[in-house]
Amino acid sequence: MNLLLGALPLIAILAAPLAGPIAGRLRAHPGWTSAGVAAGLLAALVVLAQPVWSGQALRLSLDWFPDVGLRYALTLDGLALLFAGLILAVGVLVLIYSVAYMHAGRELGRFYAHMLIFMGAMLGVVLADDLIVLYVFWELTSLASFFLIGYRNEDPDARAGATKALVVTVAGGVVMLVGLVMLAQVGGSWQISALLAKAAAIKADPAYPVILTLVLIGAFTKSAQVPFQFWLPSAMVAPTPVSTYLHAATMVWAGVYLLARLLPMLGGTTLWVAAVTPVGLATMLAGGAIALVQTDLKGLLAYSTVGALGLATALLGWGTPAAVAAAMVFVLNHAAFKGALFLAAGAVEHETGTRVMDRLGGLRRAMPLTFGVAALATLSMAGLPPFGGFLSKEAAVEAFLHGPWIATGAVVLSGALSLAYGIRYMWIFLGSPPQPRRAKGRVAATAPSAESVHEPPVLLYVPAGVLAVVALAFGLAPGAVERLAGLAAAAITGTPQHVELWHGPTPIAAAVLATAVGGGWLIFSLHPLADRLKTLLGWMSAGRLYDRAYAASLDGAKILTGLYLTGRLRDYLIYITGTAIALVALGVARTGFAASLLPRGVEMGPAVTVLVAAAAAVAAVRMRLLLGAVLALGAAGYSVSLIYLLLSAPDIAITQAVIETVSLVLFLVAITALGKSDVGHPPARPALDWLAALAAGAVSAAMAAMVAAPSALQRVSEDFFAHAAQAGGKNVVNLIIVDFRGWDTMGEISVLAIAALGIISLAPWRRAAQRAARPRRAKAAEAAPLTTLILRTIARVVSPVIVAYALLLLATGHYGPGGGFVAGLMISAAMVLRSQAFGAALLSRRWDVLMAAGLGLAAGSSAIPLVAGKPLLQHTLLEVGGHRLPSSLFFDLGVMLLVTGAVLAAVRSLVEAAEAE
Amino acid sequence: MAALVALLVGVMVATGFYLLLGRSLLRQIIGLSLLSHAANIIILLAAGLRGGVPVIGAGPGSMTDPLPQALILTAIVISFGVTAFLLALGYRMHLFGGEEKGDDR
Repeated sequence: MNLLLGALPLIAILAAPLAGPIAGRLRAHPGWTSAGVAAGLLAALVVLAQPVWSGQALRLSLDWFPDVGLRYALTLDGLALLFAGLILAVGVLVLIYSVAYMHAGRELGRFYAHMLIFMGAMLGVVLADDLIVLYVFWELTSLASFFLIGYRNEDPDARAGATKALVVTVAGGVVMLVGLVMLAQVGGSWQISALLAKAAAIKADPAYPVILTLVLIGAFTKSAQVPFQFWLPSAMVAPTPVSTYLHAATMVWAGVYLLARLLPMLGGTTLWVAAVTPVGLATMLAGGAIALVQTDLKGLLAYSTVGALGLATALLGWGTPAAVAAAMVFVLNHAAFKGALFLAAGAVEHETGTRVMDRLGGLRRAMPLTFGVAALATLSMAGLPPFGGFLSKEAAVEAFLHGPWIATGAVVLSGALSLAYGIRYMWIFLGSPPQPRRAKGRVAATAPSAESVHEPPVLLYVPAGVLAVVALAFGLAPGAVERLAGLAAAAITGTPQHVELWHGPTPIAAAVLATAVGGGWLIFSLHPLADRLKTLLGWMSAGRLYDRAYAASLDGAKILTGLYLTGRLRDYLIYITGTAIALVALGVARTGFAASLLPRGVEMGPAVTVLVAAAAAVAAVRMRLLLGAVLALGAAGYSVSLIYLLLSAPDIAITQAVIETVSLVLFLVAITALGKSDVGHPPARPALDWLAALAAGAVSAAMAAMVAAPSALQRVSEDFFAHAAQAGGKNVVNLIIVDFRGWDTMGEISVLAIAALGIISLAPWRRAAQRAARPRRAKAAEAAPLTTLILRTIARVVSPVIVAYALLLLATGHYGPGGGFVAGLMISAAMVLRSQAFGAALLSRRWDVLMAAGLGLAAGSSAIPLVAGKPLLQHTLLEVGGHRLPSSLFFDLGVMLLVTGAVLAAVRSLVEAAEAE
Repeated sequence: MAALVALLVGVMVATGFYLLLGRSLLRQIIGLSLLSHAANIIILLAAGLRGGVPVIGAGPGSMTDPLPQALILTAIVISFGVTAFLLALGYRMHLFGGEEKGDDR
């Protein structure tokens, strides 16, 4: 049972895919599947709630992050039951309503998925018994609300409203988190039920006022209390089901719930009463007054909800058992009548296409059922007997009866206000249809004509009707409300509460009723006066401050980004390299520069080589002709190859030398392809560029000197030396490539193949039309001058020799310098030489096929050890005619074929690109 | 020897980076090649300058660390692939925009 309790919030969240892809697969309407999930959860809640009816609480506590004492702890007591029941029952009705309200063809799955996530998060908030669990679900409701308000994301108003709601509620939530963490520090536990036992100690702590302030800011932002009320009306751009569910019945009540939950822990003090009740009363009157002057149907309902939240907050601030019970009764009643009113407003908008009250009127004839639903709900909201609203108003007045007269007066006045804006709401049904106004032709055109408006689809008024009938039933048979509210109040106050709502026609009831009715009519007839109130309250709102702060933060971000995001790639290059240089310089400075590295006597050979390489690098910069720069780069490359040889690295020395040759050819081809316009553009800011370049050079030189210093660290390669015999070779470099680190090489040759494929696609091979032109070029090549004849003779003799030497290097790579890489490069160099001598035709082979063959051979040979029962690429020696042949030789052969194919594919593509010029 | 080679690394990084900051695409590619030379040499220097060719039985005395050499060997081939790819990319830019200078603002 307890585990089922823990699963309740999670099931709703995890069921979100049911609304999207799975519903699509089942060909079910996501609204129905979502409503089914909600109904199932409601049934589970009813089963779980059995012990709660007899005054017990159901608890679950699982380890979450044991190291920091966090637990996934949930409690189902009377208070949680009231809210959870509300969330699920209204959820079912709203989801059914959405099936008819939300238009198909939009991203319906997204809407329902977010509704389910919200439902689960909201359940989590009211069930949580751990401050962090509470906070996580709390923020999740804000997130889900953001996506739901912004559902029509092509509408800038929807995006702005969603952002405003998110910023305000999440900012409040973060402030609250600080308060909750302090609370846990003071109370020594994250668990709410454990903290309740330490209420006296918490209230006596010097941090109490700070904790209270921080937590209250969280509750007030979520429940739209003055001065944070401004986000709720902006959130009305949401689809009506969202407004009904989140912004009338559930999410905005999370703050009220938090007040109720923390009342026994933090409440009962003068500070609590002084901080909460006045805010609640001010919000109540402000909401009611502004609701009166709204022209938008949903705006009216939004501000009336603000007022209702204010009343509940004021009651919980007051904190007497009677006030707490009245607040709980009001939560239930409000959900019923306000839910019905929102759904009815949605039905009206659905049928008429407008929510502007001035353009609506006389709808009672066209929409009699909707009218009936709205009338029931309005009478309850206005607090007239025999509706539930009357009972809760009376209970609220009674709760304040022995308090300050100003509080009692404010509650009575708010009753009058709710009657007044209730009448205004009903005017769209009762009043006469609007007269087309000639002066404003467009208004007349958009005003709905009486003929086109009719009763909405069944699903649009049935859920509203259910809620309206419930609102009536709450008044006629208050037993269920009394029971549930009594349980909730008992959970808050800790003592059993018997709520009795109907005391018969007492003098107080009569007086309240008379004042409210009389005042309501008076206010309704004087409602233009409320315009001034609106200005006054607009001044009280933090809305303008929010707008200004939001705009300022955007402007500030723009200025800040403008400072460094210049749009010039070179600047970004300097940032990146500058950061790297700074970090390396820091490392060099911290390690210190070893004096032992300074040269003691210079050997002639290395010195000359290094000098030539450095001179070539400088020449690559200084050469004005591109050809010169390319040749200088070649000289630098060959010198580097010599340096490798001097540093006991013959393998890379020959690889470097061969690759330099092939690169040189590529660069020369590229110059003809695209170098025409290059005149050695002078840099835009040579001084700055040189400064950055020299800094980078200096730091790199220092780092190079540092890493060259002899270190005491053990070499990583000792293992490789030890296993060389097993792998069947002596050249450890080659063994690392084809055997010890074979998988790495596999990846590297794949990268090479991908690069070659990229080149083929970027500089496409000759098309059919161009191929037809080839014979002419071949004839032209036959009538070659003497130099070409010499080249051909050399090529004819030399290229077979090169190929033969390459194959030798491949075969002996295991024992001396050589291997597949250098062999492949040499063969391609020989092919390039032949193509230079005999025309490009030699290059027009399918080198991509050779590449694929090489990759396939390398991959296939890695499987040879499997035959011998060893893992992939494990070194295996094959017995062939008395000789032991390492399986990695086949891998190396694959590498050679792939390298040959890749290099020649690249050369061919670029050569053809150059010829096309 | 180490100090001399370290000096060369500095020269190559400085010239390579200066070319990279320039506006000609071909010269930027040349700069990149110089930078990869410098990077390879640093890796080789990190192996330490002790010992001979890492071929077993090639000579008396200790052998140098072969792992950096294996890393560099593949790095050389891959930077060749990247260079060739960049040249093809430059050709493509030339075809479509006629603009083989890097960004020119």
